[in-house]
Amino acid sequence: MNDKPELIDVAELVARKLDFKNPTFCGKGSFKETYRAEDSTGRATALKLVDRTKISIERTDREIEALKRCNSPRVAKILATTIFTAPDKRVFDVVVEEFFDGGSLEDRLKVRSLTQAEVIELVEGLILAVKDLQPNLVHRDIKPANIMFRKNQPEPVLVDFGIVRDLSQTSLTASWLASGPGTPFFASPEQLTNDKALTDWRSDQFSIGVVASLLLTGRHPYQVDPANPNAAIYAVIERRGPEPDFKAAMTQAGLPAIIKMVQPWPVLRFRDPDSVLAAIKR
Amino acid sequence: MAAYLQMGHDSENLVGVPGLEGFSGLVLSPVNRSEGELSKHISAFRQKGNYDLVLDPQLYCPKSERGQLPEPSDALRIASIMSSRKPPLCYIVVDADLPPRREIENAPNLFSLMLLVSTLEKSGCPTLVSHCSSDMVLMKAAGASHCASGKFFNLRRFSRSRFDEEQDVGGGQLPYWFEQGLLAFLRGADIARLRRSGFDNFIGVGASNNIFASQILEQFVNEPTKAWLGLSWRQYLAWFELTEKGLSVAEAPTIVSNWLKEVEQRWEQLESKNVLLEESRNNGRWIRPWRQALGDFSRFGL
Repeated sequence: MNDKPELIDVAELVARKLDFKNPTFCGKGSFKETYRAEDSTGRATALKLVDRTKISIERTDREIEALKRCNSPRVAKILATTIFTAPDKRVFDVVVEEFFDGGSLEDRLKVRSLTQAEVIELVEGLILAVKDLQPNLVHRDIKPANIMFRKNQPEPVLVDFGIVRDLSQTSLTASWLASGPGTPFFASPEQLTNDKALTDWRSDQFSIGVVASLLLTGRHPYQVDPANPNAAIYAVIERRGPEPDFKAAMTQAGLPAIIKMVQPWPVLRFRDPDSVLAAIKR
Repeated sequence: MAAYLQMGHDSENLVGVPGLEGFSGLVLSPVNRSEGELSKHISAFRQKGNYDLVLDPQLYCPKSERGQLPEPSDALRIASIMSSRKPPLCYIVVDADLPPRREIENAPNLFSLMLLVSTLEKSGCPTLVSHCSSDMVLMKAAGASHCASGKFFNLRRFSRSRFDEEQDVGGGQLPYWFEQGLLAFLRGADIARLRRSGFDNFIGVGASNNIFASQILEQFVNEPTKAWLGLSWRQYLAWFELTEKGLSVAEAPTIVSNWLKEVEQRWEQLESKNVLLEESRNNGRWIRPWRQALGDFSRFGL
């Protein structure tokens, strides 16, 4: 997220309405811009502006309330949500979250790769974060850009719970085909096929497994051709299962648990977060 | 890890009788009993023993083909949904509209059913497979915690036509001996035929040789004209309970695989000697698809 800001005027108006100060542009996505702003107590927050004409509210009010109540240090605290109408009548969803000054996993990977011990520590942290969301919440969009860190701290924090989603997006597959690789790279088969009956915390487990695979092997666990990572997404949709090379690498590394995490059917993955943690530590 | 007795057709008298004490649970349907009867029966069962009672509301009567398991993916999808709810027990009803005493011979469907059972069990959801026949051995090989069967083994499968069988106006129900050595139900004449043909050792294999089997064989000698229908139910149920318990071990797939191989060899021997049983379709043809299903299941590598 490093493009030029387009909503700085809106951000300033929102900040004024919320009694926040010094909105500073941090980054942008397809339909969203993020600003750092300080609340009335001087605390740094992430102010996220989402253009309502381009997205729909993906999360129910109940889920948003549950996220607000979630007091896990491993999950970004949602401090407030509101709707803001700009002078030009554009309507924005505003989400205020804790601001993380340690950057994202994506940022860290630009500097250096992680050791196996660091990856295991990261996976444990992410599984604990997912566990803290139980029993009602599923993140549904775990990827390096949504894994943040506090300054000088190794513990990961999950952010961006997909409160909003592209209106034209009937499934992640359609979105990916239209817009190129992105989040679907980390998505489970049930998410890619929009099979809501199958989507639960085990979908997050799959995404964490893909993140681990990427960190440990440099590729998606379903990826055959090193030069064509996108083909892995089709393999996930078709539920072909993890590749033999990946399985051999994980077995050799003493991490067969990662193989189980990325199984194509939820019932073949770990049944609960504690089972993952026990297997990872083994 | 215990057998459940599938109640019905006035089988209350079989609960807790000597030789069938191994059943630890009872499956009964509130649909088939009035509220008063249900209450009375449950009280009576409680006095007979500490049974786990499962009430089967019989809400299953699919009007479409949704329930079929032609592909393993169907089983894995169903198991994924069921396991997300973390139920304390999954009660599995197989709706197979088969004629009396006929077995499921569709290997892919059986394989998918085994996958369903196995994946549920491994994801922490214990299963109770209802309306089993001798295919219970496959369910145990798949790791089913519990299997249920009832006295009317010829009505054993939940099928919409099973109710036709009750009319049975042609002289009453026939008694059958359940034989593990052939995994088949034998008529009295079949037992005599096997003995005459030199296959005496095919009779009373494993838990088929139980206390009720002894009584039946004794009665054949001492009172050959006396009815043995009641004993036949008990002989089958005792085999079922003992075998279900015996297969509640990690080695069940290997044990069952060896059994099926031996059973198929016995049928081949009967065929080679032209020893044909009374009922034309009682020919052991279901054993090969059962072996195929078990082989596919083992290769799946759960």
